[in-house]
Amino acid sequence: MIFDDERYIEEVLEPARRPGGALPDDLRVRYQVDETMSAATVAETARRVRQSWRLARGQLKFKRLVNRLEADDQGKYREIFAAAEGGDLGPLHTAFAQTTEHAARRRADAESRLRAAAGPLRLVVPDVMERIAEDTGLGTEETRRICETLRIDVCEPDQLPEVAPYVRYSEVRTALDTLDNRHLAHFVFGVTCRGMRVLGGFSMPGGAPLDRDALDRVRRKWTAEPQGSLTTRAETVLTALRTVPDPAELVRYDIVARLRERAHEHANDDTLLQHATGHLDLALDEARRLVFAVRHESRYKASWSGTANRLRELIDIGDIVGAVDLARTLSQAALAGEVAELVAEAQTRLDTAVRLRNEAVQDGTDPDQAWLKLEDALRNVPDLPEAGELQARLSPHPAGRPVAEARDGGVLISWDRSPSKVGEIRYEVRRNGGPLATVAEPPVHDDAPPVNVALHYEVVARRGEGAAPPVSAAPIILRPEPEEVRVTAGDGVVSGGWAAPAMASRVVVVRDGTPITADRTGFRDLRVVNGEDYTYVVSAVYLAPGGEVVTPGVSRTVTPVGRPEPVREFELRPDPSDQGAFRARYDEPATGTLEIVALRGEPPWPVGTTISVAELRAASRTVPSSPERDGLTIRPTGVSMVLLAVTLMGDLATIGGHREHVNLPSVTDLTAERRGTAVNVGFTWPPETSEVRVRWSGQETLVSSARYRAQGGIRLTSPESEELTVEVTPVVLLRGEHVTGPATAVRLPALVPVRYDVAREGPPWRRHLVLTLTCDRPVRLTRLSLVLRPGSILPMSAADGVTLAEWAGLEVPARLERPLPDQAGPYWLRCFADSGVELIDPPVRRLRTR
Amino acid sequence: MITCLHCFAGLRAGEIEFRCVGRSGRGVGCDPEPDTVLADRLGSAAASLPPAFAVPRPGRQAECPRCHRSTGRRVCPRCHNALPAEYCQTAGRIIALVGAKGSGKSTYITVLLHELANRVGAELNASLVACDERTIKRYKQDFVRPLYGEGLLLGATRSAETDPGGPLVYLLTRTIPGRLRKRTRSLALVLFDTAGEDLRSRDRTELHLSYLKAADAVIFLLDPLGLPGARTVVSGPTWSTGEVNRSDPDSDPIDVISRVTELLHEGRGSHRLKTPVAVALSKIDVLRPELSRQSALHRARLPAGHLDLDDREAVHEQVRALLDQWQAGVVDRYLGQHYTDHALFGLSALGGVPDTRAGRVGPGGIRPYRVEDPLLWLLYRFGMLAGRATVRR
Repeated sequence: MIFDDERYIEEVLEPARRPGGALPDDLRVRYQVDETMSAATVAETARRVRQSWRLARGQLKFKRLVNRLEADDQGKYREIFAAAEGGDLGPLHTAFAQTTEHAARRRADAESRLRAAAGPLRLVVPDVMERIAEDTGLGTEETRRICETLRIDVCEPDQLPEVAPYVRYSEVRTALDTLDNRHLAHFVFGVTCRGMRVLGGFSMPGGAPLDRDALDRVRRKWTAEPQGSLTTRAETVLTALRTVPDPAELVRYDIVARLRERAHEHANDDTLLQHATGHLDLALDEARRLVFAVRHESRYKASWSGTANRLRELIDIGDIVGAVDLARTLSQAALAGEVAELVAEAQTRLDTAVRLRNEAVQDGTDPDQAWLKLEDALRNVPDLPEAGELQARLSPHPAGRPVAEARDGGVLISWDRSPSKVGEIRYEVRRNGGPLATVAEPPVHDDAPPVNVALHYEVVARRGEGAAPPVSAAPIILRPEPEEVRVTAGDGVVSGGWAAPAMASRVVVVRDGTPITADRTGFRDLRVVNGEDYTYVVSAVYLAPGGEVVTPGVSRTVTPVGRPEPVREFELRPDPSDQGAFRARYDEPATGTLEIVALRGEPPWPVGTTISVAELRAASRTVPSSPERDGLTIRPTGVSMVLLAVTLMGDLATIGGHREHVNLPSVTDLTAERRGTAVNVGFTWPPETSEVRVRWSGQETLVSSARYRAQGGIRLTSPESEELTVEVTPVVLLRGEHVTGPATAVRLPALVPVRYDVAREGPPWRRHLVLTLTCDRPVRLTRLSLVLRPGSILPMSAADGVTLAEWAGLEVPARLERPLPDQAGPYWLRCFADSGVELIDPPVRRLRTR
Repeated sequence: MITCLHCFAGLRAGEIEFRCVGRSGRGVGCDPEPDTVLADRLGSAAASLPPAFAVPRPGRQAECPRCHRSTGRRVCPRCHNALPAEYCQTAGRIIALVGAKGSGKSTYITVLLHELANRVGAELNASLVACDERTIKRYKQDFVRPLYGEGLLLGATRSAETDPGGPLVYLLTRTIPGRLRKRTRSLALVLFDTAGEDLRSRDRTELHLSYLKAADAVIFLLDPLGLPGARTVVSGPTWSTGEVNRSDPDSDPIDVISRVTELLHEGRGSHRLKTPVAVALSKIDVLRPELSRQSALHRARLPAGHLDLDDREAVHEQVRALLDQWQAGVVDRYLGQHYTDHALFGLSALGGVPDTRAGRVGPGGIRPYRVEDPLLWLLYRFGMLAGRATVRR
């Protein structure tokens, strides 16, 4: 037999590569040899076959097969063909015999597995058959032939309806049960429907169709029946059959539904077949197909819903290209329902995205427009090939030309933003070619630029990986001025100091155009006259290629003055017209202006010391003040402090005298009430004060806050006839001495207490009233009334009773008599006087008559 | 015979029980056990305490029959609450303080006790000592700290049903000079701050009944601004102090007095009650500007160390006349019909108009005026204070 490469590929390699295919174990096929060949022919044919493998390896599709063939050739078949090359065909013939036995075993195995898979239904699905073919190595065709031999059909299960074509199918089922019909066809045709078919349209032995006539016949039959619950049920079933477009669909669904119910009860195939043929009146082959379809329903549902789910998942995660690729692998039959919708959506989105991408890359498209199109394309198809990279490479329009200027010891670089408005634009700022900062917004401050060198700043607008051409600022050279410049004027002298910049070669000072000798840290100028203004300019000098460069400088104007004269003493008195204010009196200094400052304790400088104003301010607290014609009015805050007089002139301050000052707040809400000879004094206790001093009528006492609270205020005793002034002064104990604050006083006018008594005197037949009035000093009463009130209630005023007597211009002390009133008890007598005197009643027993 | 300060049950001296001191450390002593009697009284879960026991003749100490440890802790046999030793040894007087809502009872008690401990105590040569820890704690926490410490007005007294705070028990001891030697007399002062609403007949509790029936004297505190006639003579911001109670049915002074009188009458027949009753017009400082200069209420009581009977009578007649002037004379007439002994007073615990809007005492702090008058009168009635007529100067 002449070896033919093409035939070998077609007959051996190609079938083995196909799904379900397998490499032949038979050496006759694999090596194209047979029992008739000589040893030399076998060796030659085997060589040709191996050559053919090497050629086939060049085709990718056979690579795996060739690897396996060569592995076998070098392994288990090596000795067989080595012997054949040596002229010994024995091993080869033995292998031929073993191959035949092996093939028989595999066939028996395949038959057994196919019988088990087909079961009593005698049906297998194609992929099961193919899997058996692959496992046994028989190949699909051989296995299919075995199926035919075994009378096993290889077919896909029929697709069964999932949803009832009639919405109220459950009512139909109930009605059929009531009518004792096994299924819908039984309702229509009775027992004549035995052996019916429902797949691919309704048919039954005898050929009676399921049409309107058949339904009319049934209707007529039931119309003849007497009306009752059975006729109502029959009408329900007939209505359903008439309502649906095709009654055969409803019949099929009814059969399938009943079969499904039985299948869910875990009935085996034999039982199901028996149920389908016996109870449901199906033909045997129809019953086999239906049971087979019901058994494999989950296979289709899972497949279809799985495809839809996978498509939806891909679309949801943005893998539109993947979804379209998946759709291309689907059969036409699978492109239905939800799967079709999802495929259409994916395809539409992909087409739109591709169109946008193509438009974006056309020449002449504005980069911003192109960016937007690619953005839209990526929104539709996030995995659109190349779109992301294209978009990232789209550079924005360049930024406006930057401006660099010296600011705060560094350089401030500002620029106009790029006109591009789409995408995230960031700006890369470069100094002398090196990166300085990347920011989203201008400006950028270069905090530490090199000094005394030319600085070139560039700004590059970036959008992703795309960068616009850099735009440059005009070069700038930073030369800092001296820092912390201080120029102080003294008496006939001006001194200055500063911190020189690190890169400056020296510092120069010019006074009103005249250079002043200065070292690197300061100067001292003695050529000044007190009272005149001098302007000093302190500049840094830098070395440059063209010579020295002098900065514009820092300017300070000072006026040297004579040394301020100290104020050694001053007097402080409270301002009576302004609470909390004090008037300071002192001798005006010949030079300078007086200011009073507050210190926590004794001043650290002796009197007469001249210090800088800055040093004074650092150690003291300013006291608010206002100038007066003869001094100052100051308003110190806080309870205790040292007040220091300082004379200021220019930047100099001369220390003067000081005094300890206690700024005690005065008491407020001071009240004093006479309650007879007792006087109750009350006030709001001043804060931060432990005691108050109370003065009245030449007496004084210290009252602590605890005593004030325990005693319920302050209770004094004072004659009512004397005017009383109560003065309350806050007191604190400082270093063993009582220090007082401002006093607060309240005045109580003197009263005129007039006591009276009512007595009944004389013999029983001539009883009369004796009214005695006494007073500490002679007084004249404008009017006095003696009032009688009958009953047991004390008269509260003259209007409460009857006036027995009335006197005008009465001089006190006095004794007055009146006849006893002709009034039965009980009654009250009481005197009332006009205002101006304090009439004091006698004990009530003297006024009451029972 | 003493009265339990907690359940107000009358107890004979032989009835007083003791509570074991219990075990201390590893020594002998009774273990704590649930005291169901006390729990029933407090209406709470039974606390575990050493057992209470009775003895045939109670003295200062008693020996526990179980562990034989000596104890001086006296308890009431009815409620098992502790009885202060000083109270058991001294003839206690319970003074009931009653007033309508907002009449200033809590403020009055606080200031009165403060004055007794300070100014008035010095005048009377008397000391005031709290009899138990609860009194000390409650007085400081609920009364003194807010009023004297922080200057805050005290809120309305919570009803005894929701806050059974119990009475404040003090021992007031006076040193009385005699002809040959000084002697001391003590009085257990039991003050029960009774909220006005506690006295409504339908709400009154057994506790209040017991308390009032056990009272040796009653102080009625009346807010003069609760009297219609007094309101008309006051105008301006002072109104706010009494205004709050105008619509409260529990604030009518006459009703409060009549409720208490009905309680006291229960079981005592219809004859006049012998319990001394002091009726005090609180917040008199509000009305002071309206009183004539001649009024006794304008003149302070002189600190003489005794009761000035003339001053007492003058104030009584003055207040009586004021009540009549304010169309509230029925108060005096009612008291006269139902009590053998009553007296009228005018006082001001704070001494000035408080800032009710800010809830603080007024400027100048607390400056009480005549706040001690009712107690001095009651001490006089109990024989602990002498009474003399005014010596005219």
